[in-house]
Amino acid sequence: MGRNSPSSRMEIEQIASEIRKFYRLIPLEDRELVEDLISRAKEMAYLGSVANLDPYFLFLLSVIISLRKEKQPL
Amino acid sequence: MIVDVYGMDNLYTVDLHHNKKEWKYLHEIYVYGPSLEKIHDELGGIPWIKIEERYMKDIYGEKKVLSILTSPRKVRTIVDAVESIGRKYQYQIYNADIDILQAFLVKNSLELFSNRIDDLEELEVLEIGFQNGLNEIEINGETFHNVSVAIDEFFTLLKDSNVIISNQGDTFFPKFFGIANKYGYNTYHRITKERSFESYGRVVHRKSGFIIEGIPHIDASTSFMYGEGGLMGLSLLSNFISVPIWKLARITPGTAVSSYEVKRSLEMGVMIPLYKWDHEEPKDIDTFIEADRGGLILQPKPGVYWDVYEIDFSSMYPSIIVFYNLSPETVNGKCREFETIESLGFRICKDHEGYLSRFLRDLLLHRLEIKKIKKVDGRFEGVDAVFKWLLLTSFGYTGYKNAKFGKIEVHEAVTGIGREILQKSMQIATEEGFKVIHGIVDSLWLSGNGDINRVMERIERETRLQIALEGKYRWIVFLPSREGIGALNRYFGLMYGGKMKVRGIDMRRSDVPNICKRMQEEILLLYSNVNSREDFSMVKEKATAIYEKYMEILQTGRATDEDLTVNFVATRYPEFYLNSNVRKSALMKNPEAKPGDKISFIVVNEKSKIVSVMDSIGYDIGFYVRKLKSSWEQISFPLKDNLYQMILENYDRN
Repeated sequence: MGRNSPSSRMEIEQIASEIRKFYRLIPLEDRELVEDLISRAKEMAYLGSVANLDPYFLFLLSVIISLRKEKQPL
Repeated sequence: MIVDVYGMDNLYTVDLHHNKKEWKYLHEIYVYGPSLEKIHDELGGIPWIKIEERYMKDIYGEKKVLSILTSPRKVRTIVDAVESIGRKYQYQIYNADIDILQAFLVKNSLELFSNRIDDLEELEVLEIGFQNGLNEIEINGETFHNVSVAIDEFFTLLKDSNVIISNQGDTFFPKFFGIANKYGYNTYHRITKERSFESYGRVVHRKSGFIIEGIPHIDASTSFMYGEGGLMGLSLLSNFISVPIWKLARITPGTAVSSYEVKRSLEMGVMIPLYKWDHEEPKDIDTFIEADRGGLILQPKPGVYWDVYEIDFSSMYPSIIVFYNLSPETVNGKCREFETIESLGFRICKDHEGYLSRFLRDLLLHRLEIKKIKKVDGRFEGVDAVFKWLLLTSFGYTGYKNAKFGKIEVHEAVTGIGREILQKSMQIATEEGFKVIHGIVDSLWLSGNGDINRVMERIERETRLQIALEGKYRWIVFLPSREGIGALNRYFGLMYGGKMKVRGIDMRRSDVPNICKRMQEEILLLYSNVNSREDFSMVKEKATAIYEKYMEILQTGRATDEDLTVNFVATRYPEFYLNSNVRKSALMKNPEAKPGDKISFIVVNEKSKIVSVMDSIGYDIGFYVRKLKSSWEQISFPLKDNLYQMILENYDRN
């Protein structure tokens, strides 16, 4: 009994570590860019606690919302 | 007033005036299954059991069962026999693993201690502390350096005592009583087995208990429940759940709440299964993922926030169990009227009150009463603490595989409803003009100029749960994680009224050197006078000076052993640690340590994994400097963030 499936925060963390695997192929400044996107995704990972979303979709949606907010604060 | 109960077949009770009474007790177990005659035929001829057919109920309804009455010592033999006849699982066996002493007390309507705190004042307490093994023994405040004199004193006082409260009695009593025995002092005692187990993600080591028959012994140094509730808390709980105080002192709150549920079942004549049959129900993958989530935790933005309210639901999860009628037999059970939890598709029966909800309702009401009395009578402080722990753990037990009244769907329904309630509360707060800064399961942090009382009234009306104002912060700091986003449970803040609330930072952690904690404490004291953004700027210099003072102590080699001590709790034996590090080294220097034990050490050379546990042989300056810097990063965050906010404000104005 107890929890069996990973939380949305764990799912996002898994995606992030998967993404980081290509770091050796890209320049340092690009890594910083990707890290920025990862941290934007993490900021909204909690949305997955109440909505049953595909983790990759949640990742992208979080990044888009965050970038959209930055461009034009709501 | 009975103060102790012990024994197996012949049970004994001892009262306040040391009168001992012997009782004969036969324990009753029940067997349910397809052909009870088979059991009856096989066991009917045994002379030391009494067997008959009866109708009894478990939480799911009435059943025709075989009642088998036998001596407590023979229960296991009967269980083995029934399992052998029924090839292990053909028959369901009830009441076979419950506490014999508790069953005896309930059956004979006997009360342990009293439910009146004034009566408990009459208890004579014998205190004994082993300060330096047997070399320095303190008895009722008097120090003895000679063990034979201490033994004489102890056994003289023992005659008039009702309870022994020791400091490290479980460790040193075996030797102490061994010597006493040679001097002619005889007592009946036994030693329970030591064990390590996991509780709420932590490994705990329970040392062997030294149990003295006829006079309850509590080792204050190892008892969590005594530490929380003191003698009053433990005695009133002992009365409430009918478990001897020496046992209560050595169990977790979760086991105590489970014992409470067993007591209530015994009183109501509800059978308690030996093995649970409430397996997880089959469900589709979407429902599984939807249901298998914990409490809702929001993501705070790191920063300093001003004028923030914290509102907390009182006993949220137990209240949900009570008000939403959640119990193994009411969640997705057979019934005519039901309510559906939309997000999970679970059906909650409304025909009758569930057993778990009934048990917890009474526990909740009892706690509320204690909470009220506590406000006028300080003696109830510890009592309130132990009952609070019972309620806190009552929910977790619904998801525990061995819980007698647990079922995973109940656990999932509770967290599901909890998430909905927190979202509903956030919506109400937003509608009333507040901004939600953070939320953790049953607490919300709100900023804004709305009417907080109106928010709480609406939440209570619309969610059916009680919510209380924890306090209003003059300022609160939510700290960033290493990656820069807000850490979920790391904050500190100053409330109006002067209370400083601190969670998750280094000064609350046991694995951080004391010098780092001292620095944070000193700086927080400075922050306790901060009333405005400008004040943060004004204390910056002083805070930095405190940091530099500790840094200098470290770098000049002047730190004391106490400053440098790092503690951690061993989670396994050293050979099972995969990585070789300072913790493993410290553990290897404590060959007697068991998983769950606290280990203290000083890092001598981190790279070479050299630590000292007893003697001062220098320390690794680099290691401690790094730790101090990290603690400074946390505690100085408002100084930097505040500067950033002030620049932003000035930028806006210009």
